[in-house]
Amino acid sequence: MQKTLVIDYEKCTGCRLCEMVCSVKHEGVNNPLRCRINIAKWETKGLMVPMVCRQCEDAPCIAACPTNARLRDEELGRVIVNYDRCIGCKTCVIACPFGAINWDPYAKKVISCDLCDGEPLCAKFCETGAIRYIDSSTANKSQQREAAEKLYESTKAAAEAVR
Amino acid sequence: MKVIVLGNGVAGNTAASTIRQLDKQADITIISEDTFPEYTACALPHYISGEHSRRRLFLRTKKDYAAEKIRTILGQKVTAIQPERKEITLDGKSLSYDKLIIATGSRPVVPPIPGVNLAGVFTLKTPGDADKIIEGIGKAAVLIGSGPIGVETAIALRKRGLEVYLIEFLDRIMPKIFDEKPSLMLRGILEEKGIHVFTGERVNSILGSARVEGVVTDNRQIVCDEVVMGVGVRPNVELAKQAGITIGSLGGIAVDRQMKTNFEDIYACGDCVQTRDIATGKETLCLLWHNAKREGLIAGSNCAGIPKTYLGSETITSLDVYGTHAASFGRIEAEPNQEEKVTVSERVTGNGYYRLIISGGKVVGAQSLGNAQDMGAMLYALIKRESLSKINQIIESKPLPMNPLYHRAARYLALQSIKE
Repeated sequence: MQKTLVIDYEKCTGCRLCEMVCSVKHEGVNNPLRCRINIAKWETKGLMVPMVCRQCEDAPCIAACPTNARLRDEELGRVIVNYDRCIGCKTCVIACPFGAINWDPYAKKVISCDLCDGEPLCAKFCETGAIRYIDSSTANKSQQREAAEKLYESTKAAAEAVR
Repeated sequence: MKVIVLGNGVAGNTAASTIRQLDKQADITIISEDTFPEYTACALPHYISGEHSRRRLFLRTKKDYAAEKIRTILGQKVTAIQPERKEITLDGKSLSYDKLIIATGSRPVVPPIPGVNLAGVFTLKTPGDADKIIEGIGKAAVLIGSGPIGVETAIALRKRGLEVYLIEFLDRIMPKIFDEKPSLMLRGILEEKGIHVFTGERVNSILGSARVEGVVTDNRQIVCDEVVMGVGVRPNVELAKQAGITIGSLGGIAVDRQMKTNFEDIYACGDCVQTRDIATGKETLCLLWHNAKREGLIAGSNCAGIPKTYLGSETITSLDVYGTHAASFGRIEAEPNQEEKVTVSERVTGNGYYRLIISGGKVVGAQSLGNAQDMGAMLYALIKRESLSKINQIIESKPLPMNPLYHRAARYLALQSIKE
């Protein structure tokens, strides 16, 4: 049963706890330049958008890599890097439509979400439940229910209006 | 099914691996003149600089081929293809095939400069070339041509402590992928590191008796121990041409969107083919690694009976210039044939410099120096031919749509200021 990170943008408060635990886990320091999940913020609009690797099946970053350093790990359903091959050209950085690959300026390497080897800490620590690590095939359930409810309410209202 | 793949580059290898993944029984053989196993030319400058060991150039070993049950015949030249008999001629013998995949790649252009045949004058395509360049290291080196290969090699040799001279015929470095402003910024970085850059200058002759001793340009004479020429590559299509395979107007093998040639059982992929640009649809020779890899996958898939379509080539360049990430995709403002009118939107931020090329309300190109993370969003706007007004709409709409990438892009690209 493969799991995926599902982000509910409307629940994100921009607390950046996910960024903190991510960089601490991977690099041993709390540094927002060294984490694999990033919160893009528009404070004046009240918009907080966590951006993270979507672990694409047909990943543009894998296609773009000129040394075949990026590959898919089918066991966990994630994209990983073979740093032995990586030359740091950063083509993957521009190939990613989500801008989900970062360049760590300290370690001088490209970094992106590796699902913490199966127990993503961001999901564990997110207090509002904006980040969840759930079964891929039922990841749409909550949206489905929300939409279904709206559909039911509007259909009911229309039926009443006609009566 | 018996498949023969001509060429041991990324296109040929990807095609072979793709067929193997889809067909466990297929008989697959890769034949190449190269004696090396699959390598990546993109890492050669890093090997020359000493940052990468030689071993890291190679992407496959004999064990990998054995594990995939792919046979390899290296160091031998195929002299003919007979499409009607479905045979190729190798070392005087005929080998039959059910399907043939031509992935013969490209070769560096050698400009007809007097003295170009002297020892110590190199092009850079193979690990062998890189070995010779390292062997030939003396006090000074001249690079002819300032495309990404010339620039990366100049940096590599400078890191080795040589006096390096980078000579470009056009008026700025990397003239096909950067407009003047970002090009000048990159030139500044190179010059700061002591690389001598001369633009608008042509090398007229290479001096020396048995070995190169110097070069003469329009403006000066430079003493050097080796010369590396990076002035472009040409598709290897002679074998295909002789066999009656259609060659396109730009000099690459003509293929349809399934990477098939004019012969039913012959496919072609990689640097040897002519394709269409994914965004403009125009015929192009876009001889880059990621296109070759994708074409190999498409050719292999179709060959194995699983239909797949190649959507087109993408002009994407990304290189590291002494720690500054320089990236470019699509077209630049200064195109030689000014058919379409473009506007330019540029922005300098704490993180770097962005330059968007816009035509008809759509992104047709972008260049970036520094943090290029948001280029990806613009790249897909280009590929999808999304209009900027639609992007603005997506950004302004409520509630938040599940497409955060445009929001991310907008932050750095000040799209709100572009209303079309």
